[in-house]
Amino acid sequence: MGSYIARRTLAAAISLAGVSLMTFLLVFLVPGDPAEMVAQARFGHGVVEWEIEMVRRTEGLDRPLAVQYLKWVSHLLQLDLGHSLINRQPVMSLICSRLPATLLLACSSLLLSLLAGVPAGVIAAVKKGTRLDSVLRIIALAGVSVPGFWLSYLLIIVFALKLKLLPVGGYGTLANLVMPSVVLAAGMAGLTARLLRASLLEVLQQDYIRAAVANGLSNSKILWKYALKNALLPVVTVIGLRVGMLLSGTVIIESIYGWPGLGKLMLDSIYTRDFPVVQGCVLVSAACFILLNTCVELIYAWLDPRIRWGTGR
Amino acid sequence: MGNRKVIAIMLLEIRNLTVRYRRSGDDWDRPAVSGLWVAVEQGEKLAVVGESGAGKTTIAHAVMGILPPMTRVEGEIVYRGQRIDSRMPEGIRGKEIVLIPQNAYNSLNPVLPAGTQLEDLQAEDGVPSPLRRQQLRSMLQRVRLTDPDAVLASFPHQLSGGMKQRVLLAMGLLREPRLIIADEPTKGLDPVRRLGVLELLKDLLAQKQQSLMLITHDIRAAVFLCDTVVMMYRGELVEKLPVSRLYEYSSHPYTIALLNASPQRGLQAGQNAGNGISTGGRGCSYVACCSQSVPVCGQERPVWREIYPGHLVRCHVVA
Amino acid sequence: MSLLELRNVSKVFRAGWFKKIEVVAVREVSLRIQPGEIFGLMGESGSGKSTLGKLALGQMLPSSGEVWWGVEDRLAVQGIAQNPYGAFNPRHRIGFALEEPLVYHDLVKDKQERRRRIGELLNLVGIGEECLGRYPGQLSGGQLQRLAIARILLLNPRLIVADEPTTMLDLPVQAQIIKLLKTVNACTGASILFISHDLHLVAATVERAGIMHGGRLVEVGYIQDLINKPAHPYTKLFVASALADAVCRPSVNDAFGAG
Repeated sequence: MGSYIARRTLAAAISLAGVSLMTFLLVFLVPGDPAEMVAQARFGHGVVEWEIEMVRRTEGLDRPLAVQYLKWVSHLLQLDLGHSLINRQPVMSLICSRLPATLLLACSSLLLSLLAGVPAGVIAAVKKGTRLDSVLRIIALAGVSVPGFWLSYLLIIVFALKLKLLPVGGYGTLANLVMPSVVLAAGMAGLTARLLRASLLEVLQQDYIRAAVANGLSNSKILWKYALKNALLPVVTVIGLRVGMLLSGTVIIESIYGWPGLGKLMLDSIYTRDFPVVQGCVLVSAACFILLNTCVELIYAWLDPRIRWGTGR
Repeated sequence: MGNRKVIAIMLLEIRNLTVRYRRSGDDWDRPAVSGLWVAVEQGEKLAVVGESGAGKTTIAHAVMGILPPMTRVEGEIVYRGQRIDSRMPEGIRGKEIVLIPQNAYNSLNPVLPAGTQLEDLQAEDGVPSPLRRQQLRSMLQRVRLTDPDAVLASFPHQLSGGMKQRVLLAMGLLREPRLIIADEPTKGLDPVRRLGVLELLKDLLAQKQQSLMLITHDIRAAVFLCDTVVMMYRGELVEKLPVSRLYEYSSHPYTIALLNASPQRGLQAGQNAGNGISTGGRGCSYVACCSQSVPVCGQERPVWREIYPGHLVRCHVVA
Repeated sequence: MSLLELRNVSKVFRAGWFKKIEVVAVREVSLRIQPGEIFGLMGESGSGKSTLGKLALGQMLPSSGEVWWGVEDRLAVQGIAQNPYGAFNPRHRIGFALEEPLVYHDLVKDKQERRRRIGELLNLVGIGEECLGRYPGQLSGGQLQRLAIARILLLNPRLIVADEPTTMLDLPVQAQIIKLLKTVNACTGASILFISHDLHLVAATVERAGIMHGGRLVEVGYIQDLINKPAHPYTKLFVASALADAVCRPSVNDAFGAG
């Protein structure tokens, strides 16, 4: 197991390095001169030639790319992501102020989706062919297909405007958390349910399940201890990927509900061409994604001993 | 023979069993098993011999109640006088009747250690926790696994094929069943391993005098382990005889063809073409391949005839 | 000049990044197969006999030692595998599968000629022409194995490596396949390397045989000598195990003929 963890960590580190390089290059790939962009932000639109050159020199934009990259990485390792072009705030603190909101939303959506999706998937598989199964599958399909923004508006109209049970948007209380979480959870729950159902049905056909039945083990034991662990494997992978996307901030939902998360920050900074913030957001999102992915792989190894130890004896 | 009355205790009786698998929608396959009657007495060791696809494993699965869903089953299975079906009464499946499955490769749950899977069986019986380890150790030693603790801690993929098979044997015997159904225990094994498995089985069975239903295509294994043999062809039984009569006095053309095909008798391949008598589904099921067939074989299904005490054949030409 | 010669051949498989795992599948094996002979290779699973078969086919290179073939053309060495269903692409009809080798290697350009040759071989292996239009999934294991043999016969092989060709088939079908292989050997003079763990089957099929254990070829000789006068301890064990249970005595019921 040790060597497996080591290899996963190494892979994660390499991915992070790659992402940092690409994020760094982002600035140079965007049309326009970075120096000019910074100068404009600082001195307003009527920027003159010598002001741009001054910026170029002070920011070190005339140095070779490799040198700039190394300088950037060294800043990175000190957790210094630069400063916003708009309000001169350190990018790191900007992101940190938004991160809790995003994390909260991601966690609550994940929890909700698991609470809804796992039982639904199990029930649908066990009751395969019945009306209950069909109903659950249709609901799951709806959850996956319905666009987030549409569902958001629907919920707002019903629960906030008509029934006046929940606030329209904002941040701060539990009530604010409900609707955005539900919207995000809907898609993931539907996916979980469908995936788990299919996976469980396949596992239940396996020889070892039949052998367990033949040995007289109780149905509930077979389902929960013998079948589920095997069936969760593919589900964990897919959900892991989806949650990674959640962590990078869900722009639309955050905009609709006024949720001060990473997604909204990224969107706003793209509009204002505030590229240090964009870079910072991209980097943080990617890092979260990679981190989460690695966690998923470790969970995978915990669930499936074959991955832990290969076929060694 | 004559008037001696022997009261045999019928352990398992399969009466008029027909099993049909579903292909798709309303489409049902030709029955895998058709109108089958077979019984195992207490202490008896019965072999069900036939080729693959003859329906032997279907019988085992029907008895154990693990046929796939969407299967149509007709007939009765009676265990110790009690009718059983897929929703078996507690305490029979896995405890009084056990199955040693064919596919050792995939019959153990890959994500649980072997020890856990065995302990779950003990839990079903209410064996108290402190005693479990010791019971498992001695069971594993009985099936000749040299390092029981290592095996108990291992995951299935860490065990060799032979070790897995022994663990499955241990699982089957752990709860001291009355009837053991062994599905193709020697399939694909090289001579050394094959003999090892056969000797182990013989040994284990001798210790507690349990009944055995051996399902196999390996006639010599049947002769080694069992007292009685029933020959199965395409879902139907064609001959039933004591093992002592198998080599010299088998009568049904299929049994003889099967024996002749073995290497020791020169690998006689046989025509497999029959005598051109058509059935239209009414006559004997073997008529298409039978070299002894006569016109009546295509018209009427043969009935069982006892040509010798304990030896029954279902054929128009014999007897 | 031998048809196949292995000179001190070994094959080692390596794996692992940090911790190197080495598996010696074949250990210093030397063997000769003459033209026209049927040679049996026996042993338990894991003894290395399948690996040796692959080395004989040229599918793998030995880690050390040399493999020599007494043929001019690499197409003259062909193989049949254990699983007949794995030998055919399930999406192609049999007719297509049989024509493919002829077309691919540009052996027979004329379509009529190809059809004729295929028809000839189907006759030899005992399969009807109607199977040409079917898919592999619609045929039985025995039929497919015969078609596999037909397919390699199209290439006029001098050496056929048959790796457990009957293990997945039932007894009566086994008998047919063995009979077919012997016919092929008799008609075309092709040598056959017959790999199997069934002593009785090998005894009924081959003249000379070898036994492998743990990667080594522990004994080689005429099959009757191996059975009656085994020298190596493993050979003794192998033969004794195979003969241990009841020997099948010849049929007394001659009224039914030989089937």
